[in-house]
Amino acid sequence: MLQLHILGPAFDLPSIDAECNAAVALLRLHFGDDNDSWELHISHDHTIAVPLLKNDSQTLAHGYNATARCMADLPSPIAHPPPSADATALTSFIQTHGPSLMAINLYVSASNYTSTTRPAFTRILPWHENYILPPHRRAVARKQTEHLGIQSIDVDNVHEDMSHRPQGFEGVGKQDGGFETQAKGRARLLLGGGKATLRGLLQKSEYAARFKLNALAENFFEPLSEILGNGDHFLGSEQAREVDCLAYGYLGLMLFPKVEQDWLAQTVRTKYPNLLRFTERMHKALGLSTSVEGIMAHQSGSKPRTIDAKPASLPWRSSPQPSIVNTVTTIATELVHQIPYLGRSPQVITTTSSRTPLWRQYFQPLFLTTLASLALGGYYAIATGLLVWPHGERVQIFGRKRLSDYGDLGAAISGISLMGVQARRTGGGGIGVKEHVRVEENPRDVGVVIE
Amino acid sequence: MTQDDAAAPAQQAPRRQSLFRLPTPVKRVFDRFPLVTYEENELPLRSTVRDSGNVLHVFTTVEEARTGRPSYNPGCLRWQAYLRFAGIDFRTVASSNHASPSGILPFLMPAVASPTGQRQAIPSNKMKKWASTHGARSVREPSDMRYEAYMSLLENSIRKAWLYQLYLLPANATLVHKLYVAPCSSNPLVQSSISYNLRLAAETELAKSSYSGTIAEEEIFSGAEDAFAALNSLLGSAEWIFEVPSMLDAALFAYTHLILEEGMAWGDNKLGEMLGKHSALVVHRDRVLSDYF
Repeated sequence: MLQLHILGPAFDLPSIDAECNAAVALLRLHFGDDNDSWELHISHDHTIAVPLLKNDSQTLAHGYNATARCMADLPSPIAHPPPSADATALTSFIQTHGPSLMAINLYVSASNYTSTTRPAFTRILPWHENYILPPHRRAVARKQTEHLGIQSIDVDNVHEDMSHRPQGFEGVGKQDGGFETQAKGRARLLLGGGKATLRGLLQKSEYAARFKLNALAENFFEPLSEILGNGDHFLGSEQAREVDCLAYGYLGLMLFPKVEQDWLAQTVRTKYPNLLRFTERMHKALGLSTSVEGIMAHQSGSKPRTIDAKPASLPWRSSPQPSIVNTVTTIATELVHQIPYLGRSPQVITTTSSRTPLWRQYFQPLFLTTLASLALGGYYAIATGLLVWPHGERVQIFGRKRLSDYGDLGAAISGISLMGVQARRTGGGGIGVKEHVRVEENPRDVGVVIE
Repeated sequence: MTQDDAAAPAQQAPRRQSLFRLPTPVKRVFDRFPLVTYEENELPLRSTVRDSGNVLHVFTTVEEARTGRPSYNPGCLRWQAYLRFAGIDFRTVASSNHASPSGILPFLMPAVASPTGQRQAIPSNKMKKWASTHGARSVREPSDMRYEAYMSLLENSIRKAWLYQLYLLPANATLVHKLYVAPCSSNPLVQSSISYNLRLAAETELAKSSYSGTIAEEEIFSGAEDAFAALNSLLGSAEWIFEVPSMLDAALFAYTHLILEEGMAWGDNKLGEMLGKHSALVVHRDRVLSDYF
């Protein structure tokens, strides 16, 4: 029984992740209306590559590309020719430029993230994953897009119409400086500098970001729209193919969510309506419309609260609730990963055995273990007295100048001098009486120990 | 003094009595000093300003730079090939990232008219524009919409497979050492730190593309195989991919040449085995190598 593990549903789409949507569309295309040969499971794990294709317990494919290759190998009632060179190129094109645009729209832009994406995640994740998965995805999204240089979209200034702003008003999210900004403005006038040139205005960060975003969107949508042309499917094919599923996955997630700053959806609606029509057609034809409430209620086993929850047309199966042990281990692992040096390094999945030596493979844990054991050993040694920190005498006596106060040598000399005194006292005893010289014990144990 | 007397009637304004005016006897001495002025020395032989000509800074060895052989870095090699397609005369010089104004190689120091003129370095993102104005032949981007799609094949799948094969396969560690680590320093601590940083950077770059942060080797190589097959079928038996030489051909040559080159001494060359099956790409690489290098 084929199982497809994806992230949960959102925005009337089967999943909140673009490639998962594409995988669902692909399987639906492959199996048609047959809902008994495959199952759809919801996964919460952010360390595995979704979509994940499994055959009972054996993992067949990680990620969308591997899933597509796997499905192409399976026997199918409808004969699909292998993807052409143009289809491969188009797939690669979508996967190169699509993720950044989608990441900017849903994750990087702060207002969209907090108003739309985060609540959508809350509905589909268990409580502990809600603090782990969305911030993790947001961090990855920012890393993916930081080379584009549009950090200013993090502050919500993109959609501001700056022509009618009153004096001193910088934009939504930026507090009016009040007296200081006005004073600065007047000072600038007095000093004669700062003509508001067009170039200076255009170079301000909010406009620069807006232009860059428009350029990015155009770079992505223009070739897609041209290749789609007026046809029903990409590259002029009669039936939907894998590349159509992938395009549907990314376009659906760009167009369907109702976000606050929907410059992306508006661009598509105004300039590339054929892409919008294509997405809606695929959505309806494959029957991928999903009600989030219905699915989540079905997962937890209760009845949906609203009446208009449509019956699911996809073969959703309820996955078991995570046990308390599972929850605790997830939280603990995640906390450990937040530690700077121990924190996760990219996992490399290889089929061949890695030939790096063992010490290099486990370099980080070994290094930290040796450091920790050295530190513990050092502490233990000092605490028990094995290693002694160099220090002076235990008892420092000030002002007394007896010979015996000067340490071992002093004791030896004082013993000799005492012996000399004793010999004089005993006087004319027999010559040849041997006296055993006993060195006086250093009065170390007497008195207060000062350390 | 006689000169001043002769000049004084010609002057309109009276001479200013300044405190800094030289006393006349001293002035007389200094009028005849220095007695002889030598002409300027020539610049040393190694100075680059001597050679007027375009200089492209790439990752290469000193011997190879002298003969103009291809660089061993695909990013540099693609620009080298592109400039050759455009018919620009230049020579290469071995360099490193620190020399570049933008922080990455390659960059170009263009020729100037006079030896004392200012030279402005051209980083790689501005090189296309410079080449279009200075080139003998123009290398324009074809207007075919599929150009971007095929370019993304190279930028995405093949580049990832190249990074994985070079930096993450343990069998190729000696190659990385020879090419990128040994020229920087001979201190073993510095060398191990550099190689660790290189590998970490490659891993981060590969893991960036997936939200789970995993790198699947099988996935990467299958993607590269599909990419090579697609490029092969598009090229067919034609001379260039889109009829005229373009950046796509230069980038494709950069990867295919370095994968197939025997001088590289790969430890584990999976991409080479894949590429051997696609004859059109091999023919394309051989032809560009023989015609332009």
